[in-house]
Amino acid sequence: MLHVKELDVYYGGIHALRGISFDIEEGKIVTLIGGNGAGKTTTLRTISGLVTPKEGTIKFKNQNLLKIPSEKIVGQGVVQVPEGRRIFVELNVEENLMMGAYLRRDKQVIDEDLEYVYKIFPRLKERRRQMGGTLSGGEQQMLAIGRAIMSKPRLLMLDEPSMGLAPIIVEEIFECIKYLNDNGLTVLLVEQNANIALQLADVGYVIETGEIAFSGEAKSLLKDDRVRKAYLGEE
Amino acid sequence: MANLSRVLFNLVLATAILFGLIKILSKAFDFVARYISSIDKKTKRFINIGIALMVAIWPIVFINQPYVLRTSIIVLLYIVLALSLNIVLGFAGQLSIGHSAFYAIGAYVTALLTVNFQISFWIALPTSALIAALFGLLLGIPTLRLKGDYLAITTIGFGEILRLVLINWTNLTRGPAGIPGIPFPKIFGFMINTNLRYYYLILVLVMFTIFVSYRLLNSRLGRGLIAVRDDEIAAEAMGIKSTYLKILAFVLGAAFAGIAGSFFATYIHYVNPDNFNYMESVLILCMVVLGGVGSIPGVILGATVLTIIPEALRDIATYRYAIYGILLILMMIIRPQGMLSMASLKGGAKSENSGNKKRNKGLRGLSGS
Repeated sequence: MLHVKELDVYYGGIHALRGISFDIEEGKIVTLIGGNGAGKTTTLRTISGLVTPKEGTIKFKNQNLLKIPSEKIVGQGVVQVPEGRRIFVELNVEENLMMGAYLRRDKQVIDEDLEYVYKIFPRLKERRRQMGGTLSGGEQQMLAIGRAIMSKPRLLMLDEPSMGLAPIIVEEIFECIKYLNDNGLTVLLVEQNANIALQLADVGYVIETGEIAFSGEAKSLLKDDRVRKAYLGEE
Repeated sequence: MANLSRVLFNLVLATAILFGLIKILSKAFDFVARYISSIDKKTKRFINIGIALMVAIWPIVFINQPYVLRTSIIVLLYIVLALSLNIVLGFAGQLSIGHSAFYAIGAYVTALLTVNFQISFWIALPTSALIAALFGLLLGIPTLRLKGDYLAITTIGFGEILRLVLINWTNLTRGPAGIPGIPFPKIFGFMINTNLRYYYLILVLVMFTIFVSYRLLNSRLGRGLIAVRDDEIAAEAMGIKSTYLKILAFVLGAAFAGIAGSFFATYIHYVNPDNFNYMESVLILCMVVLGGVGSIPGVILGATVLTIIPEALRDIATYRYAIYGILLILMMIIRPQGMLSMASLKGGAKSENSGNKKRNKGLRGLSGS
């Protein structure tokens, strides 16, 4: 579904991505794991069109994403849930969700999707008139995911959804991601929390200093010694 | 020496009194905001009609007091100006400190058209708005890629350049001498030549500005603007063209400032570059910030209060501007979110989380990340 090839990204003189390649198959959950500064977020931002790479190709369903501006990429169904949630604090929950449908004109389907989001996250329905800034961290993450779903994604890219959340909330969020995936949504998950990400994902890529260090089936990566040592904190 | 200490004593006394006063008023504003956000649609409509009626009857009550009428007209003029800046600063979150430039463009376009070409005010008014909007577009395209402080500096620069052009392009603008003799507006033989008639003219313009502001705020575009202001990266991740929206807000703000300028020219009958200096921009900015950035009722209140206070303080002539300054400083310390803030009107101030965050951010927060 998404093919990333030999991506090279520079921030000024800093070589942030050094020839990153990976593939995402339709209906799968793929995870990129790695430490701080490895290039996970940069990869996502490049796919979303917020950063322009020096070299490389990004193909989504045989379409070159590098040639189209970021708002058109969202229109193609490649949608990002940005790191740190970034919900709109001065809009209420429902307005936040409607922002996700900003590019859509099909009013009736939007309403159906709104109900769908409320079904997945009933807590958002309870708080639909509440301002985004008054939600708890977990609710904000749900809102950020719900907002992304409102733009009818075919590929949902999540940037560290577990960040700053209590373990029990993280579990709840990841169950929702699983549920979305079971309903046919392809997911690209970027995580520092390698353990929980690999348990959920089908395929994992380990990214280190801007390069894919190694990759494989998520279940086998969980047992891989290099991963256990570096990311799961085991000796 | 004795004089100096007396002045200082008086100022300290005034500061203390104002401090207490603002503390009390602050509670009152919170109460009002809570009330506004809690009332239902029907009561709201009732209150709106009540206010509209009051505003409509107001000049008839004071028909024999030209001073009150003139001040009311100036208040309404500043409401248009403050609301126009509010579209840029409040909705789109762009700190523009050169707003008087668009005001000046509107005024000069109307002056030049009506005096030199005898064109009717009713054509000059939309033309002024259009040309001001055009300048907004010209300034907006290159500068709105800048953020916060940098944008503020560029807009100050634009305002100053425009003022200097007005002073030095003597062939067109007659320089510092200004353009006198701007005629009364006429509609189907009906001349707008009294304060009362001018009052209703500006009232219509105010209504129009409020209407457009509300429609914009509650539309898809308006939500897009607020999204861009709240978090540009997240907005772009949702597929919002942030630069396009920011330029649109800038152009709209400029157009309304142009309308205000056009009215100013025909009301005062005389324009000169000194009417549109840097302090004018700062004054408009103060109205928006003091009233509550982004909140339409707040901005209206801010424009009203800041126009009336210098008038009300005329009796204590010497201390007038000192007290005005102290008031602004205290207001920003005690109530940085403005009199009626947007968040409190939407019921968000109830929560500790968002309220405090916004409060600490103040203007800085607007300048983006």
